[in-house]
Amino acid sequence: MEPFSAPRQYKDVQAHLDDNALVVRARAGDREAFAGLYERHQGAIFRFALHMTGATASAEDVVQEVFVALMRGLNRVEANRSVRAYLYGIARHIAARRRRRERLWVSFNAEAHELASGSPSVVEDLQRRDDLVRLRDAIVALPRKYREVIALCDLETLSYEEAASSLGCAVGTIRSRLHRARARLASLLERADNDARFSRRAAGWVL
Amino acid sequence: MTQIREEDLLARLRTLASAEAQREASPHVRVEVMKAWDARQERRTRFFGWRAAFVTMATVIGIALVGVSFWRQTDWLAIVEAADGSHYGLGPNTVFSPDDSRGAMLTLKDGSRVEMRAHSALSLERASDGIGIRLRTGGLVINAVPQDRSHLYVHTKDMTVVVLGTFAVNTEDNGSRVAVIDGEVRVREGTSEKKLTRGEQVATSPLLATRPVKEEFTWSRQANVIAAAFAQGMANTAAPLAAVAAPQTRVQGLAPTEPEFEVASIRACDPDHLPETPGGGRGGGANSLQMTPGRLRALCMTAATLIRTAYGFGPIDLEFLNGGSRGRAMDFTNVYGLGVEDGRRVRSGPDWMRSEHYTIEAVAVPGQTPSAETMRGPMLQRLLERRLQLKAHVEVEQIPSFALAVSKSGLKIKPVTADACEPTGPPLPNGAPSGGRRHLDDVRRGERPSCGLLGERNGPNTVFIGGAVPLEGLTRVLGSRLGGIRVLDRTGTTDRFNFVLEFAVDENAPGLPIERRLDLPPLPGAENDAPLAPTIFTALEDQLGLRLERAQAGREFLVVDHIERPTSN
Repeated sequence: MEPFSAPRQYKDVQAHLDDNALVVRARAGDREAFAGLYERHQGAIFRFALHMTGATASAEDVVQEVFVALMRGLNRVEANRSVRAYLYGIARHIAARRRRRERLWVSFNAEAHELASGSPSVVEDLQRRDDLVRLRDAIVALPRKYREVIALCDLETLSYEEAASSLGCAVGTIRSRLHRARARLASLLERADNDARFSRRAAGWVL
Repeated sequence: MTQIREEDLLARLRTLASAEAQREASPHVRVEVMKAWDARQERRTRFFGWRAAFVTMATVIGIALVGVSFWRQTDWLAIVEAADGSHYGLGPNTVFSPDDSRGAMLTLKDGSRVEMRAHSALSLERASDGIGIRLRTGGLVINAVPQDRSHLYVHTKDMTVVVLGTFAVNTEDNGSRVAVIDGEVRVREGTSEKKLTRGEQVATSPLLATRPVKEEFTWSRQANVIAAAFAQGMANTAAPLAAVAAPQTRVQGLAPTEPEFEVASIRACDPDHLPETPGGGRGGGANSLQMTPGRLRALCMTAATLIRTAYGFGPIDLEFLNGGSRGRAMDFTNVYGLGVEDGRRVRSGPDWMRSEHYTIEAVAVPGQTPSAETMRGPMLQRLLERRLQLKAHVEVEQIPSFALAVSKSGLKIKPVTADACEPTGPPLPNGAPSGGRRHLDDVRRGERPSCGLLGERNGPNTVFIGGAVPLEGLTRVLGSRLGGIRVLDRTGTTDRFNFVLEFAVDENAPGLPIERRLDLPPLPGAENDAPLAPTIFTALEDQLGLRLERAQAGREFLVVDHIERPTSN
């Protein structure tokens, strides 16, 4: 069996090819082309899955299932459609299925350390991290259709057209859904902020 | 209490996006994915390898030599709708006899409908100018679509009928009899030819008892509709008989007297702002269809989904089954969620066709009582043609499939007679109780298998137990086990067999996507402590002497030639 190839090698060989060219090559059995597709899209799919499932382990499982599904369905990728949109479409179904099946998800609080940054002071860093954790928890608490648009449009910065293609709905639907999703998210976040403020006061934090 | 403004929210979202921009799946995920890729490639190489190269070369040479006729001979000529609701393709020169005592319904490639009486047997063949049905025994009611240049022939052992309408034909030991319900037929017997019109009949032997035409189709599932049409005469015949016609008859044009929607409202809608379902109602949400007698309601569908539905295509998960057959059965009152057409069944046409949603509420002309199938099919098609100026045509593409063939070492199972199995289900006609279902352990102990093809789990494996089953029946279940891919029957035998086939549930045989998505509870037997069986490919070869080889099969799709946004109500 051919040894596992490093991402660097992919970048050298495949970087100049667009997604559809990689799909065509992968269809013909080109391992590097498939690895190229993985490298190019796994990060985006992982982050999307993370917001859909709320747990790193689940998100990684989703990434794995998405690319195995892509492997089996290479012939179904249409030449005139964005591969990333196609992958998001698969990912949302797999994530929804997992979440239905598992009926639980791990809070992002358990992963708060992953958000560490280079903030100048410990208090600022803790507070910033706390803010982001609350935001992620609020996103995970949104209904699925709102979570999807927030994750795609606001976090992955897809255009409305790309998001519509990924979710299989009209651009107008994305617009209206995003508007409602933000309102709902603001409401959830406001509640979470107030709770946190109350907790910090109780713990003697300086506000 | 603070109010979070939208710009503050967006700023926090940007911060989160920035903090997470570099997050990726762990390297071990990549390793697992690439392992799966390598394993798949290795399997493909092992299975197809040099054999595939040889087969491909041979196929290319074969195609060059035989040309289009190769494809014509291997393609299906009719879709069989068994009484249990399953659909599958029927190729040329295959003797077909419905297992079920309720007979079967066939839709021929030209759109004609053929209903088979129980215990009948027929085979289909290509004629130089159409399709031929060779009726070996039993009876048929045939509703032929208007024939243009092609013809539909029915051959019995002693006559040939050229079909131009609706008629019943029966063949028995002593001879054959034809009775015309509507339109006309030409009957050739030896060198003589006779034309029959509605109400006339002819028999090839004086030994055959003549009986009224209306008694020739009393066994039909559509007996009431046909009898009513026959009684009302030619003027009123077309509309009721439309209920018997398949949706694809519209592709070739329908008579103007067929049922229509008298009133239809088509409104643009937002799938996220649907009105509340009335109390006690059954709301299916966006992309759902519900029919009651005389009324059709398509809730917030894209035009592409509406078109797909009108032409009888089901959701895409079923695309590989039955060679992409159309005519998915629908009944009154049920709410059918039809998904969103994703471009595989309906192609071409403007983008709005796939993005804008419409709700249609339509009422049939008072006095007409079209079936649910007629409303969903031809009537909805005509409505779309009238209001959206729809023009579409059907094309066929070739898709990868498998073919089941006898392996080089020959079959490892022996033909049996039809009574070599244990009947199950309701009591037998003579009143004797039928046997219970025979499971794997029973059959391996030496008991006769239950009649038909039964599937069960045995630990990590799937087991199929065949009781007097033709191999053509096995191809249908193999198709679903292989992930919903069509499997052609190239075994060249119509014999029946008893067999046990046990194979591993793995990536090769994952079952239909829709089955997997439903997350059904495991079947009984899944907890058994059985060793892992070989792959489906090896199991077929080792246990039955059959092999799966790569092939191409035809699949239909619609091409939209012209469409406009709906006119005002």
